[in-house]
Amino acid sequence: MRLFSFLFVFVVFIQVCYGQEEKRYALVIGNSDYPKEVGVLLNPVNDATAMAAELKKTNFEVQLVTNATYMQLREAVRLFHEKLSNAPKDNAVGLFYYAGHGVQYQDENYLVPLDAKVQYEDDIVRMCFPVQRMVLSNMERANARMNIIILDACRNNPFPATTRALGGAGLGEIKKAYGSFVAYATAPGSVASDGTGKNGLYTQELLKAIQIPGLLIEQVFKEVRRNVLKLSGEKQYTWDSSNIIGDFYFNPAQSIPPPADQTAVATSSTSAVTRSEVKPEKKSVEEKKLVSDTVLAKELSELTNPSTPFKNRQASQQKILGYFVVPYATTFIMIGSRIDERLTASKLLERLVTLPESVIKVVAMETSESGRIIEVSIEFED
Amino acid sequence: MTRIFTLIFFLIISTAYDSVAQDSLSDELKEYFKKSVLNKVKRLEHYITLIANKSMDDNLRKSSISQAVELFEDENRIVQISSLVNGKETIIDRPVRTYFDRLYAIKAEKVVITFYKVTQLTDVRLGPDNKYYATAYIFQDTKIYYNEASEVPDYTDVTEKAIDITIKPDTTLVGDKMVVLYPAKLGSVNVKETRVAN
Repeated sequence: MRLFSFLFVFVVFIQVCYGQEEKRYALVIGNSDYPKEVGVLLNPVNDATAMAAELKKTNFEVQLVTNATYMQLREAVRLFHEKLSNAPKDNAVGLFYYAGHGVQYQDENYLVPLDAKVQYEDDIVRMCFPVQRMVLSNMERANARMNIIILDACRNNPFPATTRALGGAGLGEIKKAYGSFVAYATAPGSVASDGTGKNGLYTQELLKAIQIPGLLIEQVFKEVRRNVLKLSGEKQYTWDSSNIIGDFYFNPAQSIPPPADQTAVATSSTSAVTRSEVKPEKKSVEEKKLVSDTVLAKELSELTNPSTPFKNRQASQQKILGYFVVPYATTFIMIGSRIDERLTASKLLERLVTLPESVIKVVAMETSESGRIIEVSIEFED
Repeated sequence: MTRIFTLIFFLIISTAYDSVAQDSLSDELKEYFKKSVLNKVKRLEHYITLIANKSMDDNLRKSSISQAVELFEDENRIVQISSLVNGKETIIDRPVRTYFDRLYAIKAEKVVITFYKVTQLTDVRLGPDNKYYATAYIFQDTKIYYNEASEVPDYTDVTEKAIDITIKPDTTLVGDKMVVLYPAKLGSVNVKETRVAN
């Protein structure tokens, strides 16, 4: 009898867990009114306000904070963490959005509060707000099944006196984010303009993309990347980094059927194993290309030629990198009909020069308006 | 008594889950796993040979260290190294990067590491954490010459090593399609047996 009672309670527990509607919490921050020496930004408060309004429409409970000092940021993050921690386990999504000045220092990304007075590089650690340590790690410790971080912060280095010490502009890629989706306005280490309109270019396109019904989060940010790349004259390449397995739709499709070529997406609520494995197809309409598939394949294969001195192969590596819109452009390595690995263009080329002699074939290529490579799939011939 | 029933219940559930998980692997997926894992192991073998080979371009050897480290789940994984002295086997654990750094800097004029026999691979199994696991076995022949001119190595052995493999499914967008990736990563490398080379 006890066994049956146990089973009954177990089944009811499972039903309660899975029957609950998913909770969505967002912390949205926009910092504009910086002191003159740091640099006033026109758009972040507008961006954050518009983002908060849009997220509310997609069922997020939103905390909006504008022109925040360090202590205000800290308090907002504490409250946000509390909400996520009290959310139903694995049935909540946390989203953190930040628009404002940001800076990278010693493998950490920092948000710049309004009251940060940075004169020396050490001041960054004391006066700016660390994303990995204070935001992402808190989110990961809480109960959410998925954490989304959106950083529209790679505008410029707000502390010119520290430029050399910071070792590059913009924000760096956040490492070791588990169950997280991190999106940046630009590729790591590069910068984005604040924009001249009401919203920054990145947020402007993001606001549009999250309204499109039936797009998975990865598709939303890909849509943003395409549009930002185009509208910025191929100067701004947005970037995202994901290790999520579950699905997330800002705006789930209701009566709109998925396009025919997205069958895999439509079935994505089933287990990951049943989701599609797709060999990228060559485009039926020929795109403008800076380099043809055949020439690229030949040059990539040549990188592995052991009879060419290593120094020369490294020089060719730099030449080939110039075919891509950015060094962070996406490349896929195929095995048969499956994608074996996803790498950035620079990582792929770094690897090729160390490999034994190989024959490489280009399976598919997507190019920008200027013909530079946005995405390429290759395979090694046996 | 109730505890026993509860235990049996969970045993039945977990066994059923495991068998369903195994059955869900298509032949095509198994074949892909095999190719993907063997590809990573072959790259490891290639890099070990390259890093040890002092006649190769120094920059290439250093770049190979970075590439070799990236094959592993993380730098905390252990690579065991073994040696035979007077017939006695000694095994030392080294973190991944330390292993490659020491291989690069080994105090000998010539080091020749070759791999022989076809790499053996166990079946890939789905774990309760939704990751896939397998073990690959490699056979490594090491010859160390303290004098490059010498034709006879000063030290030689043959080692069988077991490499843990983990495959953690991930997703990515290709074009407009959401695709599942199964990136294979190497775990710890353990010595199974060390013997004198023939």
